[in-house]
Amino acid sequence: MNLIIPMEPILREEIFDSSDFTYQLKWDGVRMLTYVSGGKVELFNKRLHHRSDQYPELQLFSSLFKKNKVILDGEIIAFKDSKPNFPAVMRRDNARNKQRIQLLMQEVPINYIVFDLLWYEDEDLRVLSWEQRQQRLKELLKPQAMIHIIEDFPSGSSLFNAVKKAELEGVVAKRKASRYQDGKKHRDWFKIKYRRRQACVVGGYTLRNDVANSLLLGVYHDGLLRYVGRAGSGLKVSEWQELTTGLKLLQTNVAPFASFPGRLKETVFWLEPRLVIDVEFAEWTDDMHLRSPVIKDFLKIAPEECQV
Amino acid sequence: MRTLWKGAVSFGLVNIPVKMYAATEKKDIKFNYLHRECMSPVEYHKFCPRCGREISSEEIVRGYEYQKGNYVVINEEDLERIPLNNTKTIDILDFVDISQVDPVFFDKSYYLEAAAGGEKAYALLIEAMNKTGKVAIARVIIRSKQSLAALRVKDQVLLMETIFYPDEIRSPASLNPGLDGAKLHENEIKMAVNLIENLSVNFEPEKYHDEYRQALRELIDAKIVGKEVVAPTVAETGKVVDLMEALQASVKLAEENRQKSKSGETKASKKRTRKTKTGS
Repeated sequence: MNLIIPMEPILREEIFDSSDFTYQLKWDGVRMLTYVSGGKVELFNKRLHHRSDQYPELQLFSSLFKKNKVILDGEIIAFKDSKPNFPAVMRRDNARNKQRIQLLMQEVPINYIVFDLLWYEDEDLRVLSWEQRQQRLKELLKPQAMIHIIEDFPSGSSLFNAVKKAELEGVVAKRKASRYQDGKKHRDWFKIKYRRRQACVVGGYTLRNDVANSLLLGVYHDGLLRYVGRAGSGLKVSEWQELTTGLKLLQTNVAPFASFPGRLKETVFWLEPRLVIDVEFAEWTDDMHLRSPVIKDFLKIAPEECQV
Repeated sequence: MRTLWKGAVSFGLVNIPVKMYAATEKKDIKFNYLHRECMSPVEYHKFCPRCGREISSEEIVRGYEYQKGNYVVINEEDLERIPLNNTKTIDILDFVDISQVDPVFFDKSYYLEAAAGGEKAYALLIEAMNKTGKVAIARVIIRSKQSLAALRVKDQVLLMETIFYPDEIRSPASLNPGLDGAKLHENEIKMAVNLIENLSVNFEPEKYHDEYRQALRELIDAKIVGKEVVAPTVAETGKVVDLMEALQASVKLAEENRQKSKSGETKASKKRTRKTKTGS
């Protein structure tokens, strides 16, 4: 079987309602295609990297499809505080050796939310409409253990309101009559994001004309302070000026982050990880950075509470 | 497997785009050093003994010690000035018989996979190497470092062995000579040859295991089990169902509210029409 490039939803700013579309929760996890063939189960992520070893639980598919050739599309998710949590799945995705994976299987159990059936036996189902594929999926797969089938909602706006209330990631709208296409070369799947909040530790900053103009953010992940991106918007000029004086008091020579990928063009000043801010962001990127973070507030909580 | 590098094999006039992967991995068990008192992993900080303080990476430069205590500083710009064909290629220079390359030359092994557009040329090179039974000697530039390599075919995949330059291989001249000096009897030689022949088998690598690693692994596993790190295997799967139910309830509630306010609106507007009617 050749590897399939997963169909990706296109970002849209506003939620819409249309009877041509179905609406689903955007599960905040890791996109994963499952290939079952000859009783062998293999997993490949969005970048077509092999991920079977990371999630031994999904070998369960070999007993569900003993001889069939099946390709499923779905999202691997893990929970934290009753909500799907991307950084939690990343702990599983980053585990490199067997023992670590075994341990994390206990600590971070996963679920697989199946949302498409792309191949069955000799039949390439990608040419069928979403509606037909969905019907075939429901006939073929009975949800069990940690394997679920995604739920559909008829109204985009109602689902989006519920998502906002529950502070979940967003909504995916799929055109019912659309076939499955590679990547983003289509106008059939859309994602509408709800901007969420994350408490972050400030671990460094950059200056422009002697005034701070961006903050380097970190969160604690697996016991280490991980760099998750930089925020440069959300504060007024006067606020930046005030902040600069305060930052200088926390300045240190040592980077507080366990790792700091790449170099910035500007000189970076490191800080003792004591200041905590509330950041609004669109989503987690694949390498676990915050996409388009905006500074919202300063928080009076212990830095150690910025856990993901 | 993770792609380590992307580039091309250049072979005559043909350029074959390839991706490189490590062919081997060390399975040594790694330990972390912990502070005995609090069990947190020890950190290594860079410290300047002359200034008596910790320093950051920005304050560090690269130096070469040309005589004891004397250094010349070599910076990035200096290195960039060295003329080096900076294209990302594996340049095939010659083809030789593998038996002519002593195993002492081999350093690290990598797989080369055909990248998009290179499939046909890749297949062709493999087929030609299979037919001639030769291996290619190539010059490789990876991350601005130049090294020598031998390319051969293994299981229909190109395998690249980086090889040492001759001046990197130490001469055994200073060691005690092997054959010289000792007087050997005909019978002794016969016996030793017999012994070798008796122990001769086909090479089956699966037979050999790292017994030390296995024992260490068992010891670690026993400790982990003893500590009962076995954390929540709770019915996490219930959480998906719970979340979906909560969402559905929330959607339903919102829709009911909307219906209510809609019917409220129509009632109100009806009233208004009636009023206007009575008024007129």
